[in-house]
Amino acid sequence: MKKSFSKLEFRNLSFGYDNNDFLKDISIEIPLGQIVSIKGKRGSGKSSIIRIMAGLSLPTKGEYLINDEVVSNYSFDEFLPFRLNIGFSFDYGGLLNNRTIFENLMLPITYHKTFDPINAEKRVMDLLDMFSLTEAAHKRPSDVSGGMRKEACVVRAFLQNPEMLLLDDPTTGMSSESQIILTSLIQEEMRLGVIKHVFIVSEDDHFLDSLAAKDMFIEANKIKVAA
Amino acid sequence: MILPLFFIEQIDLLGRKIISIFSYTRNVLMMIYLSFRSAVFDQAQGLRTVFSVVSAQIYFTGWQGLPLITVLAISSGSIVIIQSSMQLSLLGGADMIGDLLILIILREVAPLLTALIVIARSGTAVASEIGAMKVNKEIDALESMGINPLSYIVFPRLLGGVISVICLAFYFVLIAFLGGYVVTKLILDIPFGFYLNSLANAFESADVFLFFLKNTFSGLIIFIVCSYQGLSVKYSPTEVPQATIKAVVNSIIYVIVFNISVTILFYLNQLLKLGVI
Repeated sequence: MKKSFSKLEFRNLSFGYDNNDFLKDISIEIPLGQIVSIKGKRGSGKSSIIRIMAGLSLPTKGEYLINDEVVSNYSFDEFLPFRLNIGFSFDYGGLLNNRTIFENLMLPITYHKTFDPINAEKRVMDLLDMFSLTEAAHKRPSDVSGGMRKEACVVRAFLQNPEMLLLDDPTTGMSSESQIILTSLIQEEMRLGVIKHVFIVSEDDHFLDSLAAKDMFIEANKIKVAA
Repeated sequence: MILPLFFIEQIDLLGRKIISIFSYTRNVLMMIYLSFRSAVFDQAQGLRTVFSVVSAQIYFTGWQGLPLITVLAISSGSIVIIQSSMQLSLLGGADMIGDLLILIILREVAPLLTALIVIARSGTAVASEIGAMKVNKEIDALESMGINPLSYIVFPRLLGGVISVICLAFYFVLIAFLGGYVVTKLILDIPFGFYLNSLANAFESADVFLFFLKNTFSGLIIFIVCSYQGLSVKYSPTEVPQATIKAVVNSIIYVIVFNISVTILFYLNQLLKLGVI
């Protein structure tokens, strides 16, 4: 069901809101197989890039290609095999408010039956325990702190063993202990070959340095990859 | 020269308005199709998931709406019985009370009032809930997890909403007929056997068809329009009340236009059968 990523490419891609494109005519092959940090000024379109990569936003012009397939015009069902191999964490929000943290995390793996029910529960509880979220597991997102919500959202990105991880501002509000755990978790999953491609939007240089992330800059509406 | 220009502008404005209405209607119809399609083809979504949301929707829309429906049904039933029986007695047609009740309550008032109550109670809730989910990126989160919001969020609300509207309208008719009679009994002496007989004689099989047609489509219209408006929220929480207001207004307009159209077509068909036209 899942499809792997061997090549990601933007071809003459533009993106913006209300007829005001802040990403203009971008053509780039996105580096894979490593940890990449996406940097740029506020409002330059860093989050938009990973949203396009996750299939959550559509470019206003141009094409987004995965493995040389134009996927920017794919329907939800057509994009699903790629989506199931992407772990995405939001900059804010992103948890279902009428479900507990535990139920939020169980949802994708029970919905897609990634694990059997017992292993699914164990997987969720192990990750919650790793981030010291066990006590918050049966609380709703509105009943826990913003940092815990952020951690829960980041944890969910790892749940289905995705090949590509897209993290939008993962460390904002996160405790320093959790940041260290997140760093080692990413490194461990990369070492094991479970996660192969990581893209992080963050202004936390300390976190990015600890991951030895390669930089991808947005400057003057264009994307440049550091040498 | 000024007058023709003014008329051209007005025609242009009217044309744009008509195009936007057709475009909106097309989008709403497309969403009905897509939500049914996604629900049918979504192999991951189990019946249990759908059933839990459908039952919650029926509880909220149907069960919790019963008190308000009861009050409206009793009052409209008793008003129609009192007014019609007094007028019909004067004209010597007291046995036609059943015909009037079927015409007014079953065919017209029950579907319309039920729809209006469901719009006010549940339509607003659905539009604001989905709008808030959009702002809080819950819809995006579902998509990122590979869960189609149309099959997970929209379809169960649509199904639960339609079932609720049909049940509520049936309950409305029942309470209007029985409760209305009980209230009327305090003022007028109408024998129960005579009343029931009059209703039974007036009831036709076409009424069942008309009842299901009106209520099924009213339910569909309400929940698809409200879901559509909720999903149209983009960035800000301030858009949620605007989307909710638009959902209410559009639902009312579409439900009324649909009900009137069905009524007109039904009576034109009756006239055709009678050979009047």
